[in-house]
Amino acid sequence: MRLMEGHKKPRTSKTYEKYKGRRNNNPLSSFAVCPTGIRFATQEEEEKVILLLRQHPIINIPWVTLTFVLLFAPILLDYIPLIDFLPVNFQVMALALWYLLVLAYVLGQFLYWYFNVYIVTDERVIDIDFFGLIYRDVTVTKIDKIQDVTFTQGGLLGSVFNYGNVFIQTAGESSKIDFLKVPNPADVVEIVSDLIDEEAQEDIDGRVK
Amino acid sequence: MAFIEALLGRSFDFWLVVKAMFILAYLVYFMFALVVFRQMQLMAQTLEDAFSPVIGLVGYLLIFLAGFGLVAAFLFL
Repeated sequence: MRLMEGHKKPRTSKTYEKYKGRRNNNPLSSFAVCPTGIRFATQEEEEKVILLLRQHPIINIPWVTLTFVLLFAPILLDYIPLIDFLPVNFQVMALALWYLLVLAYVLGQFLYWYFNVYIVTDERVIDIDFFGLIYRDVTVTKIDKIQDVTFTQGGLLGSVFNYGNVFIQTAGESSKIDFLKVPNPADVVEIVSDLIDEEAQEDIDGRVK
Repeated sequence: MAFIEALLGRSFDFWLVVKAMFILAYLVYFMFALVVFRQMQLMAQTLEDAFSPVIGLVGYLLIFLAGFGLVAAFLFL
């Protein structure tokens, strides 16, 4: 029996129920399953976040290493007299400005990693990208528009640390959503596949959304 | 220095120019901190989580440090 138009059955996502036992609420996690306390800009009231993904933390090693180099670089001034011609107060202000710039660099790199996220809900897949802290690109596709989900995993680091790329082919205007360098790509594909199956089953059951 | 003074036809305070450059650098950094703070607010609106308040505090800290550096450049140079 089809529900009357306008009546909405309370939605419980089977996929959410299946994976919520693996819940991870670590705010710095790059693979958070069924996280609580998270909301994104266009999230609907009953929409549940099933996966929150970021790039694997290993990709942060280059800029973290560079940060340590920059932090200790002023020690070289003892051996290379670059600013010795300046009075002491000018040298202090120059050093302060150097460390402020390093702080800005660290903050920019961290924010870039932290806020470039991939979100999988029980209804949609969302790719949020920030470019250079200024431009924001949000790509959204509904689960029932997904045609194909694949992943690639390769290289020494990818194999050792278990991260790779997930490619989601859709039927919509945004033809492909790519999750780049995300942890556990096989698990991501499994979860998205479960969601696709759930949507297909709901279509068959005729449930009103 | 003498050459510059001869070119300008007046006395030239080199350290005043260096001070002005430092102040300008700190001013640019302060403006940059304001832009970054605004973008952090935009980011936190796009994705709200338990870490958002911490990021907000870091933004305020960045502005405070930039402003402190700017004032210090005026006072101590």
